[in-house]
Amino acid sequence: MKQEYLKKYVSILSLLSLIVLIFSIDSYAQNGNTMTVKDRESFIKILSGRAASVNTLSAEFRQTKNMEMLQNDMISEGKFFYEKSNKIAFMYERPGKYSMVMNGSFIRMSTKSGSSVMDLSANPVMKQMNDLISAVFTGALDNMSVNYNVDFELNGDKIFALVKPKSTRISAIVSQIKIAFNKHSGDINEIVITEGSGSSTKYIFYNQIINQPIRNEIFTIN
Amino acid sequence: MRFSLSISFLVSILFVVSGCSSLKEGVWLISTPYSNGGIPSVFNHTEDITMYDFVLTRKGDSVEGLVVVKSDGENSKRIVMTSFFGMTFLDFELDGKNIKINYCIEQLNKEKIILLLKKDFEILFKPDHSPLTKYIFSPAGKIEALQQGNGITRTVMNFNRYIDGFPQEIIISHPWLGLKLKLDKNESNEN
Repeated sequence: MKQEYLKKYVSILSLLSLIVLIFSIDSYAQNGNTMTVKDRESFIKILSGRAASVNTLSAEFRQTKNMEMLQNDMISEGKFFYEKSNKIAFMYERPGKYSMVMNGSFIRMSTKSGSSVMDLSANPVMKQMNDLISAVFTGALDNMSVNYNVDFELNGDKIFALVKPKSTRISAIVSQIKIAFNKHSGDINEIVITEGSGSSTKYIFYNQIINQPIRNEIFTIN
Repeated sequence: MRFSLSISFLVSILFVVSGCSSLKEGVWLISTPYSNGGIPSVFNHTEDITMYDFVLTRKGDSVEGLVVVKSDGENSKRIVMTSFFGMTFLDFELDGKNIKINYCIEQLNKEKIILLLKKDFEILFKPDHSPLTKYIFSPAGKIEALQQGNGITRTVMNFNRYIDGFPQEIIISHPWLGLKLKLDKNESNEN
């Protein structure tokens, strides 16, 4: 009698353990780090669709630079502009007024001392960096697999893309970029760039407005 | 006679050329009251963190950003040069004698550039870094300019806009290399 009871007890316990295990696996797949291949493909479609439908993007941004030697982060704020397909502008307003404008293969950096323009097409490393930044800030990650390893993580309502350069020269400058997307819309909420030095810079975008006309002068290089 | 005159003329030209961009009115350290120490500082070592906006110019090209100096006493410094847009150019430490590079972008990672920057910051932190230095002092006794070395690695520094005993603007030049580093004190401290 005792033996039968014990057998039954062990069976129920085993069954219960199995049920718990099944549910654990299921919830790990949904709420843990790994995305299924199907979910990943589905999300890349969302990103591609977004990239196709977004002609312009305006937003406010906050840049936070973390340095080991500083107790607190260094914070800058300003406005971000994007126009399809290769125009990006960061117009910093606080604590100082300066700007970085990317238009095609050209970058113009302006500070209170003046402006400097660089043609990145002559420098393959800088050109690749420029393409990386453009792809990251617009979410157009689908063509990046040639030069970068891109992994996706799901966390609640956000999907994180981890972009790591394959080139050792690029990874010495930028070791990883982590992009936080809204799972449903593909909107970019946050980008964290980790440098080869170990420092990191976080960009948070808010008050995003899509397809609003942007003044041409913002992207002027000369 | 004609030959020795020509030689004298050539030597004079050389002296004139080597004297270009030099502190003609300056006094050598040994001729100042500071030959045994006590030279006025141009850097505030009591501040834990000091920030400057910088512009590094060479032959028309320039790079700009922020220099962050962390002080751990007079001899121990960590210096990070970073762009306004977040990218770190250079991260190194000085202990008064040696340099330790924590990080350096490829474009700056040349021994001559590193040693030049090392010397420049060592002079900034200790203006009597070498006895072979000439100075110009203001009527108030502050260092207005200094020059160290000769030839291709000559360093000339100008110190302007003194507030609370320290210059707010520092210009470090290497005339023969066409290189200039301008530092402007950034008062927006770490957040």
